[in-house]
Amino acid sequence: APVNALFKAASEKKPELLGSNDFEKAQVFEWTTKAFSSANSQEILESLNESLMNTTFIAQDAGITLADLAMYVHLHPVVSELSAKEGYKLNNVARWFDFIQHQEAVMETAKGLGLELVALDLNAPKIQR
Amino acid sequence: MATIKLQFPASLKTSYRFANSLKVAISVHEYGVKAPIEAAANSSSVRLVDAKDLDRFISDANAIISYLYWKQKDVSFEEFLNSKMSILDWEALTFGPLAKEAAEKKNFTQLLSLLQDKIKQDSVSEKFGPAEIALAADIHFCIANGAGLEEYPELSKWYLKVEKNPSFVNALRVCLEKSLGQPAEISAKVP
Repeated sequence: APVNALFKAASEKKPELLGSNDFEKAQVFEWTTKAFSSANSQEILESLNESLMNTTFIAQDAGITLADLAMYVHLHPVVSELSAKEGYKLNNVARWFDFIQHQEAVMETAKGLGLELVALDLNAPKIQR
Repeated sequence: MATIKLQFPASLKTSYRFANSLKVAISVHEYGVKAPIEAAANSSSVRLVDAKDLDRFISDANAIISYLYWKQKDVSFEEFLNSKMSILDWEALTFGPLAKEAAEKKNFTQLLSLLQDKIKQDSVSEKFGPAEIALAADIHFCIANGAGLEEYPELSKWYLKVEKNPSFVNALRVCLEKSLGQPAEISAKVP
């Protein structure tokens, strides 16, 4: 039960990673579970893109949570392979991923896990006339 | 509780999407939640939406039933972590993917064996907590797809009890009506 184990560890050591209220906790539960699931990555990307439409973090106002960290690790290989066009289509995910990967604490841990910084072009593609 | 509304996607009763809507509907009845249900919603999964901020939503059935449970029951988050959350983990990460595969192959032998083992090993109760709700909806999913419980006595015994629970009966009625896009009134218990 990986999600249960992570939640227990976070609850003991860094409860702020689980969100600040029940709604956020449920969102963290949802997305941390999805990070461990074998669900189609494209489906996850699309639903995450919708979820991040007006928010900086997965659990809205909570700041960075376990859900952001788990999803960052889960999606790293997928986001690394996105073309500029795909990245623009999934612009909310691209913005979120870029923000998370540049967090100091994340950068340190990512290096240890062998996760390289992903170069993401967050600008809209030029219109060709 | 924040003002919430629930969205149920259009679904066939043999689909896993229907099973997920059923989980949420059972929770609504069991925990006395008062919330409007929007039928045939334009989303691919069941959703709990913050009615005051439509950008805030939870779109996973197990996360929704857990949220409703925390809100309505006097249970600490730590208690939840130490009780049945591991069953929800198993249900989402092991059972869910196998369920979709089984429905395609029309072979539920492995699924029903797994469910029976889970009910035996984890001393699952007949009272509806999040884990029991998820497992009841999973068994209904197998039955809706034509599976029989004859060879699974413990599973059959447990399910025959929980399917008579008024929350289950009402939830199934609502889901069947909602899945067809018909209006249905939710008759939740008063908390």
